[in-house]
Amino acid sequence: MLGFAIRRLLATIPVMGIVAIIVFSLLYLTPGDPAAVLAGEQATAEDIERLRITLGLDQPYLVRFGQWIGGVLQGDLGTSIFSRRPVMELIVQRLEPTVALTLASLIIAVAIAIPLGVVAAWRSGGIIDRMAMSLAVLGFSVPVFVLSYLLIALVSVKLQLLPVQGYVPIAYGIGPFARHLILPAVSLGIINAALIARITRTTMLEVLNQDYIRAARAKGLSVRRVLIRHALKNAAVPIVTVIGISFALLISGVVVTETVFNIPGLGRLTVDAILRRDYPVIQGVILVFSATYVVVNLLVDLSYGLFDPRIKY
Amino acid sequence: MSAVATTIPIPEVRGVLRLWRRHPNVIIGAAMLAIAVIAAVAAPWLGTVDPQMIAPFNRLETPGAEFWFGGDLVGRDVYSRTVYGARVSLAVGLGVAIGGILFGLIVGLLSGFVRWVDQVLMRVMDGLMAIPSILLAVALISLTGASLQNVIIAISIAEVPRVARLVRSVVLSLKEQPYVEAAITSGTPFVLILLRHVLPNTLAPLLVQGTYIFASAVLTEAILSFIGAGTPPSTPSWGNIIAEGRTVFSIAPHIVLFPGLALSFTVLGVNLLGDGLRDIFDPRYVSRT
Amino acid sequence: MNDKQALLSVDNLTVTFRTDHGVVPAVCEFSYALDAGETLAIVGESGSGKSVGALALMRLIHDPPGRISEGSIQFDGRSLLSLPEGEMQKIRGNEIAMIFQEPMTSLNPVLTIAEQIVEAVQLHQNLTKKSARARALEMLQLVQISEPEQRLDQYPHELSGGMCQRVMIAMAMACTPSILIADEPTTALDVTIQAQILDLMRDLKARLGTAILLITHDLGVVAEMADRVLVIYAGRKVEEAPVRELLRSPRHPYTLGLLGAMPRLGDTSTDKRLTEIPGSVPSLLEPITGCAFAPRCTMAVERCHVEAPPLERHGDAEHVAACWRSDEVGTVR
Repeated sequence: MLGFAIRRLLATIPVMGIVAIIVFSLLYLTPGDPAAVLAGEQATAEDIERLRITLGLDQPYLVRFGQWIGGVLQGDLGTSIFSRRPVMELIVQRLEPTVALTLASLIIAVAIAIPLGVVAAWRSGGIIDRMAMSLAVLGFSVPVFVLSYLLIALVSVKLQLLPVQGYVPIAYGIGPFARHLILPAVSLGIINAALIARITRTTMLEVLNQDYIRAARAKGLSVRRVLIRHALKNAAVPIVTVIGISFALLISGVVVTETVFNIPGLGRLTVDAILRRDYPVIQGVILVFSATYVVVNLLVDLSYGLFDPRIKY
Repeated sequence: MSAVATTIPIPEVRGVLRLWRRHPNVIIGAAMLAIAVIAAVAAPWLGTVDPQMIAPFNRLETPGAEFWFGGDLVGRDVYSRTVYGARVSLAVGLGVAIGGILFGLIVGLLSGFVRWVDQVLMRVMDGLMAIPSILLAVALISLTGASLQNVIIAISIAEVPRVARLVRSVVLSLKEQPYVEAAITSGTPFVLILLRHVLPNTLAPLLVQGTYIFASAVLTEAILSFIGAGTPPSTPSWGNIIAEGRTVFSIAPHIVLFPGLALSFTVLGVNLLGDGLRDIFDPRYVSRT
Repeated sequence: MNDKQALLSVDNLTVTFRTDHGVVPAVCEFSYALDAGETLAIVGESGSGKSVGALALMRLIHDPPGRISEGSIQFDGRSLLSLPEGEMQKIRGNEIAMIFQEPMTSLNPVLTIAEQIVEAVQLHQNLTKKSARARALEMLQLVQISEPEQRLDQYPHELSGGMCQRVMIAMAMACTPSILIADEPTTALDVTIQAQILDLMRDLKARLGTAILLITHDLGVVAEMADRVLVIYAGRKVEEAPVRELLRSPRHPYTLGLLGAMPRLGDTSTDKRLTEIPGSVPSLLEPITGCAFAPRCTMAVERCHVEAPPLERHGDAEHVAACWRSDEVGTVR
């Protein structure tokens, strides 16, 4: 197990290496002069030149890449063009809201999707199944910001139950923290539930046709116990795999949701950086998000053994 | 004469009827998509005015008989902007579906057939897939500048790995088939193998995957425009309209809701079409993620 | 049929399945009785409805598409078809247990052997986890599994097919049920293992007094195990008799065909049996007029195609058969 974990961890290094190369090389691969584009339309020739030096575009590709990757390995993601502060520092400052939002919406997504998928599979073809799968298709189709605005209109504006937007750090009290987090987390959670519910249903349908399900029923177990203890555990591997993959959707969703709800997290940092053409920040955020995604999927891989004893490392 | 006219269409009508009974999603989805296409193509004749026309008197006008979807922050007609917005979304959807499939096909065929290229390309694809597609598109657009063309290219690049993996897995499993193996060892020209065996087998999964890419591209464009990294504000797109209405959402929700509904309607149509096609072809290699 | 009160009596059972092409009666007006401690074999080709009949007994037919549309099942003074689901759960695995054709896939691959046996024991008997585990071990010893202690914490994929079937039997017998339904218990196993499993079942039956409802297509197994035999064709009972009587003088051409195709234990060419009777089980989609077996029957006369033969008694040994020419069947042989 430990050996597998180490091997699997080592295997993520090339992936992260490629990510780093892609993110870094974009600056060089884009047609035209990136310095001119980033400097904006009102920039003078001097502004552009200064930016070119700041970004290191005046130096040969490999030299610059060496410097950059050396810095990244030491936790130095470069310096923001706009605020002139280290990108790493900016990211750390914005971490809490994003982590809170991501975890909360992941929990909501799983809490909605798995029971829904299980029931839909058990009663496949029935009313609950049809409704659940229609909702799932809707989840694929409604952009998270549209759902967010609908929820704001209903819950915050009309019923005035929850704040329209904003974020309160957890240190300021769990109540206000939760009140501000509920709507964004629910919006994002519902959208992400679609994919997880669908895979849960598909996998459960397959599992429920297996001989051991019939055998478990023949032992006198209740439907609920068969579904949860016998079927769901067998369906777990594909489900956690999709949860891992859906993390990418979640990250995109976080960027949007933070904008809608004005949450000062990494997503908001990204959007501000786009508007200010602050490429080092964009680069840093992408790197951090991608690394998180890779690590999450590494953990997913490692979790397979917990669910299925046939998987040997 | 009349006999010919009445007998010929019958099989077609029957075919559609059978499709409707067995796979209603295909028909519903296609119809929804058709509505969006009509809106895009016939925008000028659908009771619209110039979507860019600023009329300060109509600022935040509520929806009614004159302004069906109301007016926006500077008094532009939200209905006209929404109808014209279909053009951007469909152009992006179609452009990305074609671009993504084309590039993905090339990469997938290369790695399926050339072993040493496979290692390199698949590692690059792994890397690309590890970058959340929105962020990749954001980075590309911030470096190249916001334009419709750049949005299409940026989203296409993010879609390439999915298609490449699909094509590659089709090729690899085909190579195991005895008849393809025989064709390869007997020296059949590569182009013939491609045309006879590979492309027919990839067509159905690519069609299904294409619809999913279309749907996700339309969503991605809207998100990019919404966060200010997409279609330039001079062109009305659903994401843009929503982004502009964002600040006044609590007093004038219609600016956000109407284009939001149009967007959801279109993507839903494409997704239903894709799910229906998936049920019909049942391709093993397609996945949504 | 029996004068004394049978442990289980099935009357007029009809099970239908909804398919894309219409409603199919998989089991049709099926009746039989099972006494305590006896072994009744239900014999038929695959697709004859014999497994459906067994699942109906446990009320484990998936509804939809399946439905028990008619009949009654009396078990130990209770009417199974009208029991609430909760009561039925107390019977399943406790009073009526079941083992299946594919032992390897009938055990849950992600739970240990102990977890699976303990679960059944704990459910039906008020035992602590510890004593349930002790019971599980005791059962594994009873089914003569090698190294029972270690097996407890192993997973099904670590066991062979024969061992899995032993585990299934241990699990089924753990609550000492009064009926064990064995659905093709040895079909998926090697011939040598088959004999061992049959020995084990006979041994357990003698020790615990369990009645066995044995479902099989293999008359070799029947000859070894059964007290009485019931032959099913196209969802209908065509013949029923004590085992010796049936093997010695069958009264239905279908039974005769099965006997002709009977492989000897140890004969590996078991596939032969299906080709011995020409033709195949009829499609149940079409309403069957006359005798269902008539199209395949070498003895069929015109009457067989028009009029369904009723079940009639032969001799004094509780021998019934449904064939117009049943008196001639023995002589042809």
